[in-house]
Amino acid sequence: MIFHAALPLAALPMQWIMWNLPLLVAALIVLACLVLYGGKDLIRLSPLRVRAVASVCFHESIRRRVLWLTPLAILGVVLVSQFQHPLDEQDSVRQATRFCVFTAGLLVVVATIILACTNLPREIENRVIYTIVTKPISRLEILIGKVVGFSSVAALILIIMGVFSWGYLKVQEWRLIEGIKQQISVGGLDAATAQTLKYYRDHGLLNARDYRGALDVQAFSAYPAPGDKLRWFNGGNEQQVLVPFQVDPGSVQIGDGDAAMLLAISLPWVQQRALTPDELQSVTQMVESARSQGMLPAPLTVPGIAAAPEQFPAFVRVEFYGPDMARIPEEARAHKVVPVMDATGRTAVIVPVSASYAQKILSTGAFYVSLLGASPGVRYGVGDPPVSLLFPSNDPQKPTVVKSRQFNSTEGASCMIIGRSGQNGQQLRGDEAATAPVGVFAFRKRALPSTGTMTVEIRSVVDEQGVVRRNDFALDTHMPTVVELSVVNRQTGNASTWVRVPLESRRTAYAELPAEYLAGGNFDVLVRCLTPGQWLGLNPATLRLSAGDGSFALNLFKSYLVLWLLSVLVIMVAILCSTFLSWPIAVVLTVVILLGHWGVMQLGEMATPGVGRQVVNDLFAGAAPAVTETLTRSMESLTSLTRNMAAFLPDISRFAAMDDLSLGSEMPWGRLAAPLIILVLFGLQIVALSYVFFRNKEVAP
Amino acid sequence: MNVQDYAVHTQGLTKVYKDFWGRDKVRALDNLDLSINRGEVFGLLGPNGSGKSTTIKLLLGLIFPSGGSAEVLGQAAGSTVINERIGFLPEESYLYKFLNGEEILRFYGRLFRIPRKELNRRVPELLDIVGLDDKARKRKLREYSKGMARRIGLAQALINNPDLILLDEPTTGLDPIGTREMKDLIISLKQQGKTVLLCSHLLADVQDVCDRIIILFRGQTVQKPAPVSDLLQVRDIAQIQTRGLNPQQIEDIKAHLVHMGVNDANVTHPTTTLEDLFLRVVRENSPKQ
Ligand SMILES: Nc1ncnc2c1ncn2[C@@H]1O[C@H](COP(=O)(O)OP(=O)(O)O)[C@@H](O)[C@H]1O
Ligand SMILES: [Mg+2]
Repeated sequence: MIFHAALPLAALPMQWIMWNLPLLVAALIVLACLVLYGGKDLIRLSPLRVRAVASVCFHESIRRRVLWLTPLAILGVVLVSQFQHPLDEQDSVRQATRFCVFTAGLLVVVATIILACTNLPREIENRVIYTIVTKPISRLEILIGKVVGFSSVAALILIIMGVFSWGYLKVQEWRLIEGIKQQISVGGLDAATAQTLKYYRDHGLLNARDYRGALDVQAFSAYPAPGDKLRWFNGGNEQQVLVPFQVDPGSVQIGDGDAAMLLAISLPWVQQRALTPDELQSVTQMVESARSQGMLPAPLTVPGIAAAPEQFPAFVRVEFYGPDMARIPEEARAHKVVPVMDATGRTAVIVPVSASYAQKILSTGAFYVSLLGASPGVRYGVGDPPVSLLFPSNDPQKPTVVKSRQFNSTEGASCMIIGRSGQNGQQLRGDEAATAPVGVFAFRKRALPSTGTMTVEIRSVVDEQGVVRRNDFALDTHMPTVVELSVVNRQTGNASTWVRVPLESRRTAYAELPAEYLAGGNFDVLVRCLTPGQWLGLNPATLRLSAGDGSFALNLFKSYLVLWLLSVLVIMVAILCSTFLSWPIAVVLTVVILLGHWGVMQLGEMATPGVGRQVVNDLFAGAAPAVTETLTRSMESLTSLTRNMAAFLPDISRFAAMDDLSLGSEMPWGRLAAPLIILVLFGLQIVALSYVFFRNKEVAP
Repeated sequence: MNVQDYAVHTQGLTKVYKDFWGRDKVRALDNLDLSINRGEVFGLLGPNGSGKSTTIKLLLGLIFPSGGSAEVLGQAAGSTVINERIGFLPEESYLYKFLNGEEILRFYGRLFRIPRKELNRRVPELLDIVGLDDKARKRKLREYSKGMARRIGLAQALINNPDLILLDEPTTGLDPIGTREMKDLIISLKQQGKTVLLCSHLLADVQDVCDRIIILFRGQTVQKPAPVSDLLQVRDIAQIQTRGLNPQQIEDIKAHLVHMGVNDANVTHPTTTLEDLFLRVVRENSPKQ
């Protein structure tokens, strides 16, 4: 859904109209159909008549035994939960919760689609409608009555399913907690398991916590204290810096040939330690390769005599990422590993980019330059943005310089430093305390109680040298990873002592941090891994603070409320379809309308602009230019048509009933806003359209 | 007379049913001109498939005309507001089968926004009028016999004490006593000053209760609206009815008539004259073989 009400209308009227087109169309439909065409019926609208139709609808559905589906669904839930493979007790309960909500959602949607799609066609077919439309009830009242009636059926189904789910989950929790108590009393558990199990025993398994997540997570070779000028990251392909750019392709002049756009890189660096023979060999290779490409001037060593490590330049690998953080594919000569000669960073390294690749990069609008520290044993310092772009200008002596833009999440930092990306987010290497790199979770403007302790949940996938460990209990429990946490207040600069947490891959661990450092709401939580040879997967959701524990029952209720809102939308769409179609086709169209938006979103890149040319290039490589041009254009218009159509369909992925429940976090009431807006926006126009169709329908078979 | 004063007024009312592709399929009603006065019992007569039900559906706005216009109680046909004053008994009782007699009447009552108190009084009263006993009222409609369904259908048509009542084949499915009761009811409605439009293929129904009739055949008006008494008026035919004549006596009477100068005396067993009329107009309008 597109809704940009805040935009100044006068400034960009055309753009405003385009952005809000679905909203405007909805308003227009409602105005034309309901207010102008159906104004009289709108004024006559009587709750009494609506209720009469609704109650008959409701009773009919009950008599059609829809409620008999609920015990079947419940049986399904119970059966399927026997076959789950939980990681631990917490996961077991969460899986069961997800399953309950999913089943209830599926049941209510299927039941309402069938009920609502068949209702009107059946009443016309068996002519019951004769005695209804000949009463002083308007078609609008009939439609609204039916929506209300079926919505009550949906509510009843969901209430039954909800009460069952709650009871079932409570029993499951009790059963699991009993098991946990026994495990603890028997003993013989490793530290990580014991700590987690005790936490479950004391806090229960069904929670609705008020979690506070981090704004972002970065990884450094050492934590940059608030006053530090340089932020350091490790080489050895361990960490990288991301520099964001936003360039309007029309505002710069792209040259041609191999140096159409230039990168100017200035990055100070320090050789930390002597290299191992393996590392030495890899550095030598980089040197050779750079020299063969003409990037290093003269041999630095006398042939036959091994070079001293400090004589090597540091290398960085230069890559470009698109707005979605996916690498922008390069045609020929792949990623460049570039030597940085000047360890003070004062002299810039110039890296040329070919015309075709520059075109590709700039066409994304917003992109990132990534510099990955390639040299082992080196750390690189980031102060000012380390990269600028240079474009040719009319004065050959003075190229156009484009500076990087700001990352808005990192407090004015113009670039982010992250761990290398693995399958499970950034990777943080385990090492001894003195040299271990740190992951930094930034919390900003998070007002939290600052007395006592604060519970931190951390859940990560632990890698061994970039290989994801098998999801195997035995392996994990024998080798718990040692992780330490600390909290730093950004205002005072004070840091807590490190708190040690035994961690298992894919299992949540719990730690208590002193809350005094949270005062003011701006703080960093630092994490480091002290088990050498293991890598911690980090993303902003890896670590969460829990500010309080809400009611699980209320949380469940909110989820079912979202499902109910969804089912009301389903009912409206189903009734709309049934006003002009036979019921089997109405069922199909209902599903298409409901899944349309989501489906087009799933197509993802396949529906983005520019895909036409790509497809045509792939399929019709040899065709005449005129032909490919036509094909490209028709492909483009087809995809844009699909995309634009999708904008007018409701986005059911916004009815997020499961997200919070399956994380055990408290669902804020605000989460209901998106479904409500969609329901009102689409519901009103759907009812308006149904009304027009139904009023112009001959209700004889 | 002003158009507004008619209970029903149609001009050139035509209905052509179309098939899926929009091509003409059946011309079910052609150019019907009809004016029914208030307080009149009007009969719409015709064999099966002659367009009677089509006419009623058009008057109620269940289907839309292909041509011409129809007004009911001074408003365009199908207006929701005017339904307040209309009662309709469809050809068959199409009602919610999962409700019982009382529930269904209450449901229809609520569509008229009749207050609960008023319904508490009127529902049993109506069930009495249409002759459904206490046991029947509590039974689901799906268990009703055809006659019982007909009765509950009639009750729902009268729930709002309508001014204009449209009855489509009111006596089908009723036993002879039920038929008699139905006719009595129609007469009593007339006495209350209500307008009744009834359509039927049963002549006896029409003859007994209607003030005026129209005869339709294959959508065409084959007999313009006229008072029943006019249509049945005996012209120069005298009919003598008696009982227990033996053939000899009949011969004697014939001879006597010849003696009186009447040569073409025709002795038959009597039929209703409306039936005569009906069969005649139908025969006249049938395509010649
Ligand atoms: N929905 C329909 N579609 C096509 N033809 C119809 C439809 N309803 C009625 N007809 C045709 O219209 C003609 C008149 O039907 P109807 O008015 O029901 O007759 P009756 O006088 O028996 O009530 C018949 O030939 C019938 O077959
Ligand atoms: Mg009929």
